[in-house]
This record gives sequence, structure tokens and C-alpha cells, in this order.
Amino acid sequence: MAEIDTLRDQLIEELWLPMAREGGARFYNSRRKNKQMKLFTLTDGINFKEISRLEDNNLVQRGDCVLWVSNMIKAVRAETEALGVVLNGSICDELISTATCQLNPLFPCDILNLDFSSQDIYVNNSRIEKELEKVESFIVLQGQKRSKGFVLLQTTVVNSEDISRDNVKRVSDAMQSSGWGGLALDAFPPTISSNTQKMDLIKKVAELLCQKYKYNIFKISSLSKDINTQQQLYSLAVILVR
Amino acid sequence: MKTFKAERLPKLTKIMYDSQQRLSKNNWEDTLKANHREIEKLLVMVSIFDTWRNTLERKYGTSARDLIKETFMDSYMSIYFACMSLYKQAHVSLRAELETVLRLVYFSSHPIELKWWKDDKAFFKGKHVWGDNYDYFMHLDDVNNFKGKAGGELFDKVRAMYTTLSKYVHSNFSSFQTTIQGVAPAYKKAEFGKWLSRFKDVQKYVNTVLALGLSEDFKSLGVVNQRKVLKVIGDATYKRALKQSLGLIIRGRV
Repeated sequence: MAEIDTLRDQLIEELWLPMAREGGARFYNSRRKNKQMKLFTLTDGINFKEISRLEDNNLVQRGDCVLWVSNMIKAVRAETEALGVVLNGSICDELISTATCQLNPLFPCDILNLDFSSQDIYVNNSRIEKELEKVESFIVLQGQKRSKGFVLLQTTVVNSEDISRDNVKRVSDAMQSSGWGGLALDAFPPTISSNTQKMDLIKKVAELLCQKYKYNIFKISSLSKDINTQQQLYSLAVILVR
Repeated sequence: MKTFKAERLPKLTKIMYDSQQRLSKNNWEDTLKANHREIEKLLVMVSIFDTWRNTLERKYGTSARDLIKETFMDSYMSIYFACMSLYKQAHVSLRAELETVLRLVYFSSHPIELKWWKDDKAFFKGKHVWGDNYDYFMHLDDVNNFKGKAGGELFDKVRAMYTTLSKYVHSNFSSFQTTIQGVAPAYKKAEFGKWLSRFKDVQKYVNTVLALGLSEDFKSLGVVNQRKVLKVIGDATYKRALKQSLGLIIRGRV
């Protein structure tokens, strides 16, 4: 069985960094030395590899990042690195797009690293559905804060747990957007059991959310890594522009 | 000094800096060599405050979040001080943890008093917000139901623990950190053991007070998180009394 941390390191090099570089060139072409992109990251609170690699590549600056870790022990650890603002809690319980949310004044960001695999989410009931709901809330927040474009990195563990297509649609459609007719997921079966289909669904939802919130997709790419025969670490990277 | 250079420190500061660096390293290592498994268990125990915070913040807002964060930090710092062999300070942090939780329960239903307390108004000067002899808690039905099931008064235990911990706050002779053998803090098995036992007791009382004082919130945690809280409480009598007095439906052994 491969360690998630090792697989995450591969994702950083093979997917996250190339897409962040491309986003940096697209959004801040005139910034030569350092793109100074603002990063929001769901991080593991242990080694902060994604931040140091983005920093090494002159895409973000130490002290300017917004970190979210899953608990207070990790928050103490994260604060010792002086990487920026450190927040903690259960990301799936956070009401992200409300004005009172602690994230609100810290947005918009240029890179959204929504790595749910870093958050010790032990819920096995509708976990991916909840994560997709949060992804949408973050896109809403970016829109509310008038972001013209950003890099979205979305990572999750795909395992034997089924995904309910209608649940995904119902939750998304409850968040209204003018002129939007609802999430069209009819190409998927009501219960999505195969890992390949789950990954296709995650990608499709991201594409549809871009349409819903009036972002164009400048580039989209994805990668999956086998944790074992039943579980995969799936990562999707999208550059959204308006 | 823009860049920190230890060799450029003034004489006494340098002596203190060097000795504290060495003490910190040695005491952490000596403590963990003998107790790393126990410390890991304590860190798992205090992680329960993440669970409480997630629930209480949703209902009571940022004040509950702040009080729970402080509670966590008091418990975390108690472990930190114990690992540094600073047993007196480790006990002081435990009393702070206990006090903060008692306040949290009281303020959860007293928002006006909370504001007075935050504003440092004279109203609470020289007295505990929860009243003499833990009066406030004595009037809570769930606390009284628990008393019947547990066969004893929880707040007698809380009072006894508070009194013990207060000796460290007020520097009673028995709580002195210096000994006849020396002044520098060093790992002492017996002192660590005494602190460890009290630490576990405080977590038991704190989580029981939260479960009873905020019983509706405890019930809303769901079975998985209720089990986690009960595991931290540990004491079989307390767990059974909580399950019976609050009518918890948790199947199997907890």
C-alpha cells in the first residue's frame, strides 16, 4: 500500500506545480521575480510540502498563505512555520460562503488547494458529496469576492463508498445562481459505484460549476494515484478565468 | 540585533538562554524516553476539544469557540510544561483549563454576563461566575440526575481537584518547583506520575461537565463523537451514569 503523503508529493510535482505555474503566467505575467499568488490550502499540518514547493518555484511567498488544518494540535504546528494565516476546524462543517465565515476577509485567492485528503475526514457517509458541496461554496466565495480567475486544485480519496448522483445534484441545485437550470448529470447512473465513474463525475461537476458561476475553463487536467487496489488518490486541476 | 546571534547576547541573558536551551532539550528527551506512549494518549484525549468546538461554535458563536480554544491550549500547555519538567506550571495550566470549561458552560446560557466578563466589569470581582459552592451547576437537572446514577456528587470531586490545583497557583510549599537538590527543573518520575494522574482526572471532569452542562449539544454530537467523549472520560461509573441520566443510546461496550 502506498502512503498518501508519498502520492501527494507526486501530485505536487506532476500536476499542482505545472498548473500553478501556468496560472501564474496567465494571471501575473508582468511579475517576473515572484508571482506572489495568494494561496489557500487545505494542508496536512505536518510537512507543508505543497507550500514549500510553490515557494521554491517563486509562485507564492512565505507569510502570504492561508492555511487550513483539521485540528488545533496541527494549528500549533502550522503556526510555528510562519507561513501566514492558520485556521483550523472541520472544513466540511464550515459555512464557507457566508459573510460571517472566518475565511471571508481572506479571500479571494489565486490558488485554491482543496486537498480533502489532508483533512482527516473520517466521515464515510456521503463524504465526496460533502466535499463537492464545499468546492462549490469556495467557487461562490471567489465569485462574491470578484475573482477574475484562479487555479483550483481539488484532491480526494476515491474508495468503495458509492456516490449518489441525485444527492450531488440536489445539494448543488439548492445553491441558486441566476439563469442556471440545474446540474445536468443524467449521463451518470443514480448510484455511482465504479471508481472511474466517480472520478469522471468529480470532473464533470467541476466543469458544470464553472458554467454555473460564469467562469471559463482555461485549462483542466487530472491525475490519479493508486493507494491500493480499492482506493485511489484523485486530483483535479482547473484554471478558471472570467 | 536584526539577526539573532546568541553569542552577541548580554552576559546574564546568554547564561540563561544557554541553560534553558539545554534544559528544554534534556527534559523533553528524558520525559519522552520514559513516557512517549502516555503523552501520545494525552494528545489524543485533548483532541476531543476539536469535536466540542465544531459543535459549540455552530450554536453559540465565536465566544464558545474562543473559550474552547483556550481550554484546549491550557491542556496542551499543561502537557508542554510537564514535558519540560515544569510541573508547577503544568498544574497551573490544569486549573486554568478547569476554570475555563466551568465558565463556558455558565456563559453558554448567560450572554449578558459573558459580555460583562469580557469587558472586565466589577460584577464578577472576587467571585466565580458560577457562584459559591458551584451553585449554578447544582441547579441543573442533568447534573442532579447524574448524581443519582453515579452515586456521588461530581462537584465534590471538581472542588477537591480545584483546591489541589490552586495550591500550585498560590505556591504552597508542597507545590514548590525548587528542591533541596537543586533549582533547575529536571525530569522526576514521581512528579510526572502525580501530574499525569491529575491531568487524566481533569479531562474526566471537564468532559463530564461539558456533557451535563451542555447536554443537548452533547446529545447532538452523534454516536461516534459521543463515544469519543466517553472514552476520554474513561471512568466506567461516570460513563454508565452519563448514558443513563442523559438517555444515550449507544450500543455495545464504550
